[in-house]
Amino acid sequence: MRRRAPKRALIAVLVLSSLFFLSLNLTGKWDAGWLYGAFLTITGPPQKALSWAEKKVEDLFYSYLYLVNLREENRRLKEALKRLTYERNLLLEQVEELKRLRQLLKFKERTKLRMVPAEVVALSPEPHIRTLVIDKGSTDGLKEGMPVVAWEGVVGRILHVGQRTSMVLPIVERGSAVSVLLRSSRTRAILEGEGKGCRLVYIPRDKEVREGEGVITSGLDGIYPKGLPVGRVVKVTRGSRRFFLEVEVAPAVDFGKLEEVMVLVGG
Amino acid sequence: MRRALFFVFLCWVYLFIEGSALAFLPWDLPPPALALLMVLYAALNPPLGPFEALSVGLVADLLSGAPFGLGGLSKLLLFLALRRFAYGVEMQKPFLFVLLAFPASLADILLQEAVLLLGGPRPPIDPLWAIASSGLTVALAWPVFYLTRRALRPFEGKGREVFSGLVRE
Repeated sequence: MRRRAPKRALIAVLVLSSLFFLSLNLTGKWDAGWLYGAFLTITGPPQKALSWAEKKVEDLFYSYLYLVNLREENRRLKEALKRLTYERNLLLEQVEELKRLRQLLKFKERTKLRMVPAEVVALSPEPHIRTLVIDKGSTDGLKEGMPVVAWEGVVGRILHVGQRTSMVLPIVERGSAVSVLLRSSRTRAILEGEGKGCRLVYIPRDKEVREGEGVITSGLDGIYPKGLPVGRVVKVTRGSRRFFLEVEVAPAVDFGKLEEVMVLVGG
Repeated sequence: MRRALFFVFLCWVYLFIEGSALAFLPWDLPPPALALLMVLYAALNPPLGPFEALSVGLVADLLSGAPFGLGGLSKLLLFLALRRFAYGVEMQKPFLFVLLAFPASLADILLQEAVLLLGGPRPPIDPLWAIASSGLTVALAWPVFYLTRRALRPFEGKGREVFSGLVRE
């Protein structure tokens, strides 16, 4: 039995090259966006085809094995509920804005936005990062950084763009950050993803934050327009030795049922 | 070369199907680490070598949106560790493959988390999530081993060994 000597030079080159690319990427000195874009472009058509086939199989399964009418009605009611929830959130925000005599300006801003509807066709296959792939890309006018929303609220932002598909970084993913406002108290904060949920950071201890309070985008990050619903405060902890409050937020969007989204492509 | 390309292509197909299937499954379901299983397969089956392991990691990065090189680095390091560990272990490959799937999957997640932490503070990964993902990885280990072995059968006895710690003569 003999063990061949490993080709150390080759291994060293491979390790160093991956370290090199990773450090360039993490420090922001090299933008690998084009590489992801190219890969998404290649992956896009078969991904759409597979998603279509899976959807057809799923439809067939539900349509024939379950009651067709009930399912259709349920779908319509859920859709209506989503729309109503979305409209209610918008209305609540508009009431606040009326109080502050800014509703007209905000309304104009909001109506200027053009939306591109898209469907979720895939999720990240790696356990340590959660991303979504949608079936719209650069040919539909999508660009990196564009906000993605659902009827209930903010989903995330475009991370990489391919020709016909794009990758979305959801707000719940670790490393994601959104500038937000608390709906009633108008306290500003940063919403950070925690994997399963979100939390608000940098809220001083003396600020009043109530459980159940709505969280909306502040518009200060230059990505999300102001006033989009993000979630709801579910837990507030005041640690005696901490400078800031610990605030847990439940996202407005149910990512488990996310099928269709809209990309805000601007005016 | 053809074997290496086919192996990486096969990994892409697995990850591609997994990603598409996940879109129809519950959001809370942790994805099994199929890329890690491919690296484990490469580690136990010379002449598949470090180049294939690195490529599998990079493909996983591109499909998941992780920083480019993160998966490549972790998969390469794991490949080297696994091959070193597996050398001299007297056990049938399929059993060793399933046995190593859980610790290797956890090690992969921890390694990537550690590297990401070097880039700045971030919330830690949910331990239950990581364990559940590793558990699902184990559940899929045998089918992946079987399918991969079947798929690579036409390449048996071909190719040149670049780095093989498991070869016994």
